[in-house]
Amino acid sequence: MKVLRRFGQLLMVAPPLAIIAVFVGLPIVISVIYTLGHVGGLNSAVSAIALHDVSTRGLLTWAAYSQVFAEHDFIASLIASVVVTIVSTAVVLVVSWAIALYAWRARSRLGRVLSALAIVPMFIPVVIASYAMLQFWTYDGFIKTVANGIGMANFPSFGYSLQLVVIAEIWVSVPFGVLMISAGLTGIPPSAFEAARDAGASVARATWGILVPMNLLPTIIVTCFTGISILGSFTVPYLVGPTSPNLLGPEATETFTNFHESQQAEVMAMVLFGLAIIVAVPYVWATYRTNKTTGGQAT
Amino acid sequence: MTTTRIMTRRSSRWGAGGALVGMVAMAALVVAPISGAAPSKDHASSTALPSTLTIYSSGTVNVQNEWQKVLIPDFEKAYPGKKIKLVFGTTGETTVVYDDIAAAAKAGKDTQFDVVTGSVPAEAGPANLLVKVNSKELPNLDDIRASTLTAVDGEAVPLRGSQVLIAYNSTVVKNPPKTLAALIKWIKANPGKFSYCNPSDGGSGEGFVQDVLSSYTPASVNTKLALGYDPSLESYWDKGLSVLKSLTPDVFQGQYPTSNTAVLTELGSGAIDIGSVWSDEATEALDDGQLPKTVKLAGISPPMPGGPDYIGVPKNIPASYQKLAFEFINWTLTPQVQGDIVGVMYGTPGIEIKDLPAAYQSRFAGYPPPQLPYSSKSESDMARDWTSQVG
Repeated sequence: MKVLRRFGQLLMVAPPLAIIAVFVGLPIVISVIYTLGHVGGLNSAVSAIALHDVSTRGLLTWAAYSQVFAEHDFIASLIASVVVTIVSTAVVLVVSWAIALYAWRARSRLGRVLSALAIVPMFIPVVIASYAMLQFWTYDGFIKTVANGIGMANFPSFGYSLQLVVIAEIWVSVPFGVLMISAGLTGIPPSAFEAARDAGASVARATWGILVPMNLLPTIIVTCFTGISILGSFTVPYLVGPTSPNLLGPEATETFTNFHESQQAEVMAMVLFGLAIIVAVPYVWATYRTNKTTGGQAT
Repeated sequence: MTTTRIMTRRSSRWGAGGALVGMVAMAALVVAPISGAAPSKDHASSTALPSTLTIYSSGTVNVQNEWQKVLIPDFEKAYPGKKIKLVFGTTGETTVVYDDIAAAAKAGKDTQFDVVTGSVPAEAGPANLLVKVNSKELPNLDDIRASTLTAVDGEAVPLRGSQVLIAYNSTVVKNPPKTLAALIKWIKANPGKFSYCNPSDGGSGEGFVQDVLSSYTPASVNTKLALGYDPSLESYWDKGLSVLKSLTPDVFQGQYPTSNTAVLTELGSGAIDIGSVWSDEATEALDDGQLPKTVKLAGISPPMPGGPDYIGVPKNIPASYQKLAFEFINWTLTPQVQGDIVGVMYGTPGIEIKDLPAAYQSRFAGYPPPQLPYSSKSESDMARDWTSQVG
């Protein structure tokens, strides 16, 4: 009887599992073996339009990887991706915490307005936001025009630069951060914070010592998810970023569609995948730890 | 063994979504051969001409308008009882359509399209997936410049085209440069007043880059790079690439805009005085007031390349459909229809300018005969080398 029920359960999850296996799992496996030099079989179509791809007669070859890593363009873009991700994520964390904390402590109309305003970018499509950013910061944009008006003719224009990518990524990512951290804070009894304040702790000390540890999981979620989405972002860096070096998303797309180096583009995708896994480690660790202590009740 | 490079150029000219759909295309490639092999249309076996022609085209709204407002109604009027079924796609789908035709040809089967245009023929022609054209089936072939057929191995004809020119602000630039050397001299003498777009993002930038590279390359090598692919010849580009690199500090903001239209915007706002542009886009912008009338177009010598948009017939479709398909294509090449196309599209005609109705000929005064564009594979490598050495 028990066996039968087990079998029934397996049958129920089989269709979604099969869909994932066929539409997600298989293409990934095909891509991975393509980057390792298997250009035949299911890869023959993509390989037919590819230029400069590396094939192997043996089992596998790392030649495509060593080819990509030998290009200084790629290395520059890799560094740019990592730096932009770290800087943007750090700023998103600080800004989100600041807004959420203010709204949590003030409990005033201004606090509510501020946290509501911080969510607005979430409802603006990224393409529109990117163009708006470009218009705002570019050579004839608002900032440059104002700077020019007050006599700062040499004020830099951030159009098509990594600085603008950072600014736009922050703009796009802050709403999620504010939402997550505010949600986490509402679950914390104000008395914990007030008690520390009464005992003489400064706001910064009480935040760091009480609120951050109690709100650790949302903070880690914001860090990891923001990091992964910036690392793999395409629209923002494609529209507002420089020609080269840019983030790996546009770099891989350009390599695929414009240079027709499909294999090299997929190698870049694998590198991105690897980086994303590294960023995801703290999230998995934190979730695992929370599940262990709460018996799987938390997020 | 073909690429889809020209497609990217087209899409850059007529739409910005090319790169966005690249990833979709990547996924679609895996599935395409399976769907491509399946016959999806019930062709009548009788020798009488069929009533419906299925046509694939791609591009942005103005190309779609050209079909829906001019070509389809006019053809259905000229050929009573005949219908056109238009399948209109974006760049990503073009890759799938190309794969569909390639897979069908490989399997010796019929494809679902009777006529293909947009960016497909430029790839499918050199791959010998289309029917060779001849003046018996296409009497109007005689009006077409023969050299434009070489690039597609004689398997498609240009429906219309466009070419890369310089656009300049005539209130500032009184004597526009007439040669490439003079233009380069002007750029260095007027830092920050010239712009060309990233060649990966737009054909107008590609045209300027090719003009510079090819001016340091022997003519015979340029022909080989235009009609085929030989990476060993690309070392001839080194000189041109270093010249382009030396121009970077003198282009506007030291940056390369990411689309053809961005250069037009810079021209329109007065940020730059000379830019490299597509003739059709610039003419349209002048016509609807996005560019002031003081902006003028001119060719330089050696001329920058043109970009013909071809139309052709896939192999293996039933004879009766093939007959109607060529009748349709022949009709599009008549001077009247070519004039109508030029009227809505602002581009250059597929037939020679002297064969157009007189009213349209003056529009192209001062356009030099364009250089042949590099083949799609050579173009891919050119964009790659530019990005790593200049951009």
